[in-house]
Amino acid sequence: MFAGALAAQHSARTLVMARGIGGTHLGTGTVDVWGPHSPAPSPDDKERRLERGSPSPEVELKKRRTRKHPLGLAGLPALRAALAEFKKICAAAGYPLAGEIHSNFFLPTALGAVRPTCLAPESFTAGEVRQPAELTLARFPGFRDFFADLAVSNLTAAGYAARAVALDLPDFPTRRDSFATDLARAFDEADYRAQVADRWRAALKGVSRLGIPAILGLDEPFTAWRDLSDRLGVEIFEIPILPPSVPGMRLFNNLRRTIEAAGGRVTLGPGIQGWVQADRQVGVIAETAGGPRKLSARSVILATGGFRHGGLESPAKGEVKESVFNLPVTTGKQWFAPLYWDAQPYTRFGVSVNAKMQPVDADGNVIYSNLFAIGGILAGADRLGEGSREGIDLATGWKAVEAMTNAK
Amino acid sequence: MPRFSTEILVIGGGATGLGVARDAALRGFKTILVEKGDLAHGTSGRYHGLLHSGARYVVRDPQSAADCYRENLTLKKILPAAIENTGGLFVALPEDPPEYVEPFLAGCQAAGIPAEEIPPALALKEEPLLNSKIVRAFRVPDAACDSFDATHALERSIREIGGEVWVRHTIVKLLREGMRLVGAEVENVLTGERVLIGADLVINCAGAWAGLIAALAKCPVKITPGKGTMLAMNSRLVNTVVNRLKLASDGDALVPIGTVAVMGTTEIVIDNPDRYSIEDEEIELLLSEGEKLIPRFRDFRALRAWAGVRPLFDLTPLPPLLKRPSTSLRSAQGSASGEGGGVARSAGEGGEASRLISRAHYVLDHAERDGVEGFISIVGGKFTTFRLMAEQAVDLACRKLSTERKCLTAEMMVDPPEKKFHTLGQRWGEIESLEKTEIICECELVTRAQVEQALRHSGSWVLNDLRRDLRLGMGPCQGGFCAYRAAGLLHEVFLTAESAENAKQIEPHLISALSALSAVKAPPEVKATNAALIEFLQERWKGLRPVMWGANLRQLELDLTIYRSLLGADRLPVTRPPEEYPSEKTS
Amino acid sequence: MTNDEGSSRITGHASPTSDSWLLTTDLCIKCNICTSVCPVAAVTDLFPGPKVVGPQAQRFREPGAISLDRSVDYCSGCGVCSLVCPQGVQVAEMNILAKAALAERDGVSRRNRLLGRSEQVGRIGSWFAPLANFLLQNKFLRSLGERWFGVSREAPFPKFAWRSFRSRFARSGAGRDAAGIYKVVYFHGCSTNYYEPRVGMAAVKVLRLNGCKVSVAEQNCCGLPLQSNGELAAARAAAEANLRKLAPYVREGYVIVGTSTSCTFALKHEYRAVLGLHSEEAELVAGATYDFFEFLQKLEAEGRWQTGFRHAPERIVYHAPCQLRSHGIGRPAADLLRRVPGVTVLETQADCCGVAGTYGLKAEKYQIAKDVGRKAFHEIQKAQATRIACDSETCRWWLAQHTGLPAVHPVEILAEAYGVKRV
Repeated sequence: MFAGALAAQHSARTLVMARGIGGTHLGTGTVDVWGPHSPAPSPDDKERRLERGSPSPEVELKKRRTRKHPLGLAGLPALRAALAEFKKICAAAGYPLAGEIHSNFFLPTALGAVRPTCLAPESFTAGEVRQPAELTLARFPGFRDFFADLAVSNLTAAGYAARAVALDLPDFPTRRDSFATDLARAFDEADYRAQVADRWRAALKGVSRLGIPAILGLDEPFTAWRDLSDRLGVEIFEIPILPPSVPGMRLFNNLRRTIEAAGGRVTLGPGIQGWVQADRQVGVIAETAGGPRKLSARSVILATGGFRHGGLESPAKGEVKESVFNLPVTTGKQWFAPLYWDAQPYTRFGVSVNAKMQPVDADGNVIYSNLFAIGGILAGADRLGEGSREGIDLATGWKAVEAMTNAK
Repeated sequence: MPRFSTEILVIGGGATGLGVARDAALRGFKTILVEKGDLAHGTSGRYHGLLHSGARYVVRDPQSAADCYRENLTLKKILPAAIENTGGLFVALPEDPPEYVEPFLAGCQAAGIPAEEIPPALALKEEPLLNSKIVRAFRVPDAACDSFDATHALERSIREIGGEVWVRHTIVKLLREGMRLVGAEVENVLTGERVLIGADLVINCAGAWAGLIAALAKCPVKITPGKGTMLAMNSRLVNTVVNRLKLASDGDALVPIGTVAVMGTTEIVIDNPDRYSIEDEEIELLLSEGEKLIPRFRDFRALRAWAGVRPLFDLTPLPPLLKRPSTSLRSAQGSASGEGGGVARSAGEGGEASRLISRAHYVLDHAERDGVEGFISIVGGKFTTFRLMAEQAVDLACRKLSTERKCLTAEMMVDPPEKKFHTLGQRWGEIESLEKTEIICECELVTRAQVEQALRHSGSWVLNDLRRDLRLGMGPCQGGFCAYRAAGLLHEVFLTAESAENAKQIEPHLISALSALSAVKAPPEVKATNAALIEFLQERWKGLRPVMWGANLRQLELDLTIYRSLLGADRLPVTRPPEEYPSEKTS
Repeated sequence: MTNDEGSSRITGHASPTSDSWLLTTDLCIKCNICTSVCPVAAVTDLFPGPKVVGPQAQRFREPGAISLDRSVDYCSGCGVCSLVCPQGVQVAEMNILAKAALAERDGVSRRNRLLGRSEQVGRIGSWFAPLANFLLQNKFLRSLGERWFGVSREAPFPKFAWRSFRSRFARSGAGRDAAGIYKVVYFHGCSTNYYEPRVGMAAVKVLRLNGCKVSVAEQNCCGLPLQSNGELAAARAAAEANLRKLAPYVREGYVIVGTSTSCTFALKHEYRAVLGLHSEEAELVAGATYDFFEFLQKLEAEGRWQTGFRHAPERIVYHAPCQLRSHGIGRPAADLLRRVPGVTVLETQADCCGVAGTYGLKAEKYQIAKDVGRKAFHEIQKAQATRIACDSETCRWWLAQHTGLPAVHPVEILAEAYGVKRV
């Protein structure tokens, strides 16, 4: 979606087509780049230097370049520009992201672990665990996707000051299954927030910062967050919870609006196949309701992700294929580790590209001159294990659009 | 050491042990059952799910077939809520031996098993996915039985009658006075606390571990562990049990049970009932046999694989087996079934020295066999005949205790009298009738109320217990969503145990377990919860890895997104010390 | 199969246990993306969301057994869930079939039978058009209708035309076209024929202007209302009749072009994916069917689209019907209208206006439908346009009622831009 936004803004006629919505709705709604660059700083660290846990971008990129890691291929200028541009897009949409390329936030998870991330929505940042103030996490009775007491217990065991508080929601629950989106839509309404504030105020006396599940608004989240924080007089921070990811949806919606405002289109639904429209040039076949329709394009950017949404497929044990253009997939001998918690080798499988994000064959030759591949489909990174998912998406997207526009 | 006394001490909490304990309690014996893990965590919890009509054994072992059929009817009467009355089919493909049909029908008649021939077209109409090349089809009264439901119902019944069931108690030693067993020393696995149980008679129902228990009494009982692997297919591909119409072999039965269909099974001899893995060849075999029954079988999602260990009892001392014959133990010449009921045969006519071991059940009086009084073992057998096995064991127990008491288990319902057969839609219907609840496991429709009930009152201690009790985590997402939620609930229950007012509501074993864990450095409820979560997901992984392709791989990606990225479960402070955070070597 | 309940089976080709259905159930990884966008789940507690009643509940439905469903009835059939599922699970189709199974179990109500038979209703209504219109607009009768029938008294109904489209077409010079670059069968659908013949006339004129030979072949109701109301057998009969009538034209090189996005969606997709018709005719017709503006885009790509427009300054707000989105072709009407000089086209972002065919007409669902549509109504009012353009008839009537703005089919705007006099 980011690449689409960039392309549309560069006044290319842009169509973003996908069989369905991608990983935004399943993620944290943050931009992870560096991962655990160093162990999470312990609260015992007397100096509590905020620099601890901060990566040096130059050093990190250099390490990755030698390993043909997507971030290394994209390069530092692309990463820098991509992060800046993404911040700009979000700010323009009224949903600013905080953070800089050379630092990490360390934020609590819904389980009470601590995860690093590079860019986070403003509504998340008060949760920075290295700040000394006590973390108060809220449990919503009747809501099954956030167990504040468990999170608090784990945070406390790790040495952070934390406690849990039960906060009732008005008219809740009203249905059998409550999802994060139900709450988010309620919090979009100012009346509802006023009721909530009235109900919670007394229980929050003396609380400096309050952590709640990330359900503080879907359409106008920044307003919702600021409004509720002001009404309560506490710093609120959101904690991402089980999918559907409301903060991820916010990012998706921002990008979609950006694309459409710049004259691009987003079409969801059809399955996608590739076709060779001319010598070494590809187009796309959309499986519309009535049947396959061929689309030609000057450039095609393949952003179909890894295995999760079918960019790579494994039809039988040990087999893998790239599902749109049948590009060669770089694999390894071992796929899976015996321990669930170890790094799984298959996550590094994917399409190999050059520094312009063009898929290449085993000899390094560009396969199709107008095709670029970005994001999760690329080889060389364990995005979840490393904590580099969105960083790779954005940087490689930037690089591809840059290469595509320069190629004209 | 605290001391308890009872009349009958039953070792083993699988179907056999529970059946024995219930039978004994119903006959008025004071009974205590001890089980080293959770109920049905051994073979009973890992079987195919098939409640045999007996038609499977009519050719090779007519006696066993007749027993099966009688027990099939009996269990349907006394335990309907654990049984889905799916019916069964025996279907012949063109390559199956046509000369099998006649002895099959004759055997069914002799055993009293109704086997009705139906036109293949009708079978295909009812089961549209079946291979259209079926040449013959017969309807039999097979059914599907959920062993977790069954064992839990048995346990409830035992408690109601006044018997005791102690889970998580392992046998440390069997106590002897001279040539007589007088009881056992058991250890609470969670707390380490040891107690003595004095008993007039000890009944060994430890299944695959029966040999190890008998050895504690210096009675040699050779149990050969026969591993059988099964595949759970994500969708209920058939609604009737489908068997191949030929002598029993690997991968010849597809059983619909609940929301899945189970394809099984293989048979490979192993050394240790606690240590085995699932081989690629087994999976491949199950897939290709599945394809014969359902041509598009490989396109369907194989949800997970697991293995159960059959306790094969070797009646006569024979030379050692080959570890892994190149075909299964059931060679091409024909052999006893893999699921149970069969007669010992020696090495067959052609090639391999494959050996067949009886699958019938045997009640061993160790006084006769080994000169040890006060001790009997019941070995071999299969799930379908557990009640009969129990009856025979307790009959022997009566004789040894010089009393005559009638067995009541064939008549007395385990379930309340109004209970009917389980139906697939039941669970969904129950949910649809609820106004408000929180569904914790959405795939298998497990509610918060059910989880809390299990944690507080039914002795569920870890997430795997919840899985066995409630099917939590057994659906397509394999714990992706519900493991977190269940861990949260587990933690809540632990927390409330700390506070004095709530302690009264918590079962005594939970409190004692907590105080033991509080000897550990980190807060006990945190450590226990995290450990339960980690263990649960690792156990799910064991069964997923052998079938990790297609939709399963996509599911894995989603689950890893949740647990590694979103929740950071691999970075929890109390299961991995801070120095072990993911570092450069993983990136 | 031994089943103690012994109740009826779901008959027919596409049933939730045929292997294509099981395969799509297998694909679901429970990610909740469909739930997050469902417009009905967002506004009512009665509907737990497409995942819950779709692939999740499907694993608990057994053919021949009573399905204990209730909440799937509140699915509106808008299809957004299928569009966003990254795994390709056919969630909407699954829910439609589950609803049909409910109907088979409980019987189809008189109201749903009526709402499903748009062709018969249209035909009878148009014979007595003035009287029928009076009756339909009469408040007292409408409130009786709600009490006896369950059709919401507030639901917007169009007026019956006193002369059907087909008869107007016949008088307009049917069959007098020259050979033309394309031979087109215009699929008008019930609403154009009986309520809004002007849409059909505009469509035909635009097609002729673009050099097409137009025929209105024998055709009947596409059957979608029957399908939505659970009468699969009747829907299949209607579908098979249409295929019999239309396939010969396709074999002779005709394409099928329709102005109703629901009708064209039925021909393209629902006949095969929901009704389970996979004959050669079904494939032929599906491959040859085009939404009206999709067809014009095709002409444009071939350099054959006539663009001699008048300057027609106007601010229009376009709403893409949910069924148009399901076509997977983008929004050709909005794209092409922008080429008319002076026309500004604003597009709504809302996924569904709420009416979802006959769903919003039902008394127990009217309020839900209104709540679903609130976002669309709001966007339309904010747009400060003179007219709403929308390719689906039920959406037009619904949006017009709830926003007070006149709603037309985009082809009417295009026809005006060509200088065609309004009929």
